[in-house]
Amino acid sequence: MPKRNLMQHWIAIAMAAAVVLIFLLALVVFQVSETEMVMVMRLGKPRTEAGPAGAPRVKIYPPGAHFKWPLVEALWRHDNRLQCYELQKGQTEQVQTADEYQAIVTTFVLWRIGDPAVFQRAVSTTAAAENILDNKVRDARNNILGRHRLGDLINTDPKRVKIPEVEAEILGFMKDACLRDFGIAIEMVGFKHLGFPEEVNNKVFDRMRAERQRKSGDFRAEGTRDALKIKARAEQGVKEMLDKAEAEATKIRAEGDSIAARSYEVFARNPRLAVFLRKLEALRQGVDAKTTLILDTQTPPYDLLRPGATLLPAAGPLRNPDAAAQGK
Amino acid sequence: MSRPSRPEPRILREPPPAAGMAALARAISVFFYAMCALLLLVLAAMVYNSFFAIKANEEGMLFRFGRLHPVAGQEILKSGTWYFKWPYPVDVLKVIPAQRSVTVTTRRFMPAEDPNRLAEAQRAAAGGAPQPLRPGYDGYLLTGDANIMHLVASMTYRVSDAKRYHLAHFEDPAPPPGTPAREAAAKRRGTEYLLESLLENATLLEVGARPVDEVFRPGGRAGGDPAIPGGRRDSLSEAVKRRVTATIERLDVGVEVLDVSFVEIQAPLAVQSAFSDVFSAAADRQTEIARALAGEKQGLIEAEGKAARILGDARAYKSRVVENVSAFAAYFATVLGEYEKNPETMLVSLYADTLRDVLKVAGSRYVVQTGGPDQELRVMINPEPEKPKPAAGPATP
Repeated sequence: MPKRNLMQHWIAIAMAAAVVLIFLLALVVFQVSETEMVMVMRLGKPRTEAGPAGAPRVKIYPPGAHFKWPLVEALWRHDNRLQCYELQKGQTEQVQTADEYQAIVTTFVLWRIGDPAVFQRAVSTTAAAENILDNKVRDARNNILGRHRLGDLINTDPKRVKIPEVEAEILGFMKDACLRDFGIAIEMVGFKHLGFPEEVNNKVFDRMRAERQRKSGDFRAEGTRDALKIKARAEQGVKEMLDKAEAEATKIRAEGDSIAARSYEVFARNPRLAVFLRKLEALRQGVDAKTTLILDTQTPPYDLLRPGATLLPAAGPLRNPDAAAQGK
Repeated sequence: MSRPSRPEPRILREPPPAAGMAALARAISVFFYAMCALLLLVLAAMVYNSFFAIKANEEGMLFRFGRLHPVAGQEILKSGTWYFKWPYPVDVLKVIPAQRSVTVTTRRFMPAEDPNRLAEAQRAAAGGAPQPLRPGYDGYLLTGDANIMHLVASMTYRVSDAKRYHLAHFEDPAPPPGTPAREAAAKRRGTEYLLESLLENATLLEVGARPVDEVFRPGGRAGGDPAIPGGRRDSLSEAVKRRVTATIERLDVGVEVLDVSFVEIQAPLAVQSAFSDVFSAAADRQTEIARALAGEKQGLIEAEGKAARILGDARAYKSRVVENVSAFAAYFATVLGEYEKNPETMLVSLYADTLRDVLKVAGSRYVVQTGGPDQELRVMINPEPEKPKPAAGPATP
């Protein structure tokens, strides 16, 4: 009868067994991820294995599932990937450069675990590692920056900016010591911010204002200069154009006069008459409504106003131009 | 009258013990079947979740007991097919946004408070003290000529190697809900923060190697008119992109930088008016030059007109002279013929005709008796007639 009851509840029994199994496995099995380093600490001491030379070394577990004893063995885990840490201490610390300038430099570090055994023993946690980095990097940075001039950090000549070299010097200054003493592998040290103390900033502002004022003046003066140049060029262009036109006009007028002169040949037949006719024509063209004529009574036809005008003259009022020319 | 009868008292009887056990067994049985049903549901959900596909702009990696587990010989799972994974904790799927572009933006080089809003506040306060830049709190950049300026830098990248991206570089866990932004930012250590730091490092270096005008100048070092504010800043962004890309390749981060850009490039609030005045002066310069150029063009056009008029006058003169002389020659030839027939009459006739025409045209004519003693003649020879006074009578000629 009890055997039949057990068989009736095989599902419940299987479920209970599975739960117990999972619980037991959870106690003895652990996983190592690809992104972490794991040590098994037996009574606080890392489990070791034989090294290449036979000497014991701390056992680092590869990714996968592994076993450990429950209760007597505990796990130590730490991420094995590259981390970026910005120094939290000394963010407003003034660093003196070789040429007596005070600079404020914000620094970051790229680091990962280099020697897990040393790291676990000397550091163990990320917070402790960052504390160590704060001190070591600050010390190295202040040392190295003290050997460089401000012109090595900022310079209008790109070839004279030596920030990468300064960063490499800082890295070289502490890299080996950090790995040896703390198991921390530092991949890179870099600057994120470079500034001056607040009172220096105010001086910089004064200088910037003065420079901008000079630049504004330069721009306005350049504008006036360029405008004057353009105006002079324009005036010269206008003058050249008009001079050229005048020269051309003189040439054209001369051509006209030359052509007209050819017609003067006909006047050779009676030059005096020609002159007389030209005078008449000039007189006709020279008088307009604004002209005031003052004539005497000897001028024909006003000679008719004189006494005896009813007597016809023996000769005409005018002398024949030909006769006048001949003195007759 | 009859009294109402009393109700019969109810006697509660306890069920027999066998019936209670049966009820308990039924309850346990119901509970057991409910648990089985729940278990089946959980199993169904697990089976459902065990089949998965990767989206088009993502790549996946399957970790079995923590170790990267290739599927069909491939470590990186891509879209277009179904995959199977065992439930946690056996298999864990990690999905990386491999093809999607991601943008990181840093405001490290800006003051803690928005300078534009502060500027408005200061204008409203009329003459408030300029904003100080507090070390460790307000950000800024130093240019090569030791000027201070602000900008916001952005970098767009995409994951080119999901395995390197995930396995070699730290990934920040999501901050617990309600964590203050400043506190969450201080705890960042991951790849995105690393890229942001590299961007800041390269920007610091490149801006520190240029004069302030070149950072503001469109077109960068290669050229461009410093007088024209705004526009492209290709040279700086290209240089920063090159530098960040080189560092990323050296560190083998597994990302590809697509673009670097800078916005909100501005001078500190304390000197913004001086910078604005430079831009204003540059604009004035451009205006003055533009006006001079316009004047030059206008002057040349007018001169062209004047030159054309001079040439036209000359041509007209030429034509007139030639025509006049030709006409006069013809007239002379005609008159000469008549003159030779009767010279005196011809001359008098011509003279009288001319004088008549002239006298007809002339505005004033005076005939003076000559020959008398002490003659004096006063004539107003101003041809312009005097304007008549309104009150006066008719004007005397």
